[in-house]
Amino acid sequence: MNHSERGLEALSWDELEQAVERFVTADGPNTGDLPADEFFTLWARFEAERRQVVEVEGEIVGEEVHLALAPSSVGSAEVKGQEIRLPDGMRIVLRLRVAQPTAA
Amino acid sequence: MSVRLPPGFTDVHKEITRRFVEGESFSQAERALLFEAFDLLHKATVATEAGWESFITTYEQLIETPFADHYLRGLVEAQDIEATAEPLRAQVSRRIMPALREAGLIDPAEPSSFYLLAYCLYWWYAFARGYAFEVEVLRDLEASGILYQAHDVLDPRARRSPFDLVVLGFRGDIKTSTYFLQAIRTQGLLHDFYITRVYEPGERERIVVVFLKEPAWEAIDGETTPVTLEALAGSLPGVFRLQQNDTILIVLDYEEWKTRLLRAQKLDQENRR
Repeated sequence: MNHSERGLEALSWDELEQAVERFVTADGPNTGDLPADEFFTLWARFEAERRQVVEVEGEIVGEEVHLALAPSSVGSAEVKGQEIRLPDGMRIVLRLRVAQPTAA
Repeated sequence: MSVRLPPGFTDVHKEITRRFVEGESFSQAERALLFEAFDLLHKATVATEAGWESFITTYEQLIETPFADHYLRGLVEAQDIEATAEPLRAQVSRRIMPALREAGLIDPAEPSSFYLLAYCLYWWYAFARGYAFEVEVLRDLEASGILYQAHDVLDPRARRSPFDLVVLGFRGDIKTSTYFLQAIRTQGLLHDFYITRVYEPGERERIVVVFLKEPAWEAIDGETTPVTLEALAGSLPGVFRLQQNDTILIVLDYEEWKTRLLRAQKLDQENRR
């Protein structure tokens, strides 16, 4: 049996109804508090994964784009004007230009 | 009627979703996959009379909007929140499948629609458990004499405020540990402090923990011990200083936080006289 056959598609309607009833009777297992060690380990893992993505937001004001780090990425990089400075020293400089209208 | 699952929602996500509905328990790695699966399902869509709608919109319209007020009012009026919350949660949960069926959004002949049911169950429990914990904490803060301003959980608009409460001018959130991790995954820690709850396997007592950013800690102040995230589980209770990249978090037991907070608020009141 492959993974696809192990998805919800593998259940008949009756089996699904029974599973939902068991789920509700068990008060939604796995949806609340976590064991302390699992909580802190997962936190460390997610934090490390999140830090691999730097989200930069831009606001177009007139002909300029004002860049800023998204709240989720504060501390992950530095934005100065049109330049994004990454922690490893790499710098990304944006050079933007207004698109010229194309002739019909 | 049809459902479109997002391209990144693979067979392993399908399997973990089925296992979630069947009430199985998960290893740490599987738990991470479970979070990923339900985050991905935000992007799934279902064909409705009004056109393709996201699972989030469908959940909000058919589950949260009609059922949340009744549940939350029950919590607010309950003497024993925990004992009241469980049957109230179950009452709503049993109505999810019929509500989706009645709206023509779940069909026995179309198994991909079962994922909408799983999505609604998952987020209903996140919502319901989260608010049960929040109401419990707010009630305890009031009983402890802590001064705070909180959003009104009975007001649907106020519920959408980005933070739950303000203490000493600092913004905080109250989240179950599952939902706290979901926030870490998607947005990071935006507020000044967080209250969450974990447990030690084998022990009945759950531990309520507070994480404060430095400014919120400086308002109540005290000695701290440096610690890493990995070592925290075995170190609680205590007052710890946790360096997370460039963010410093102070971690302490909820009761200890309340004691220090009360002291700081009394001092603040005396200084104002």
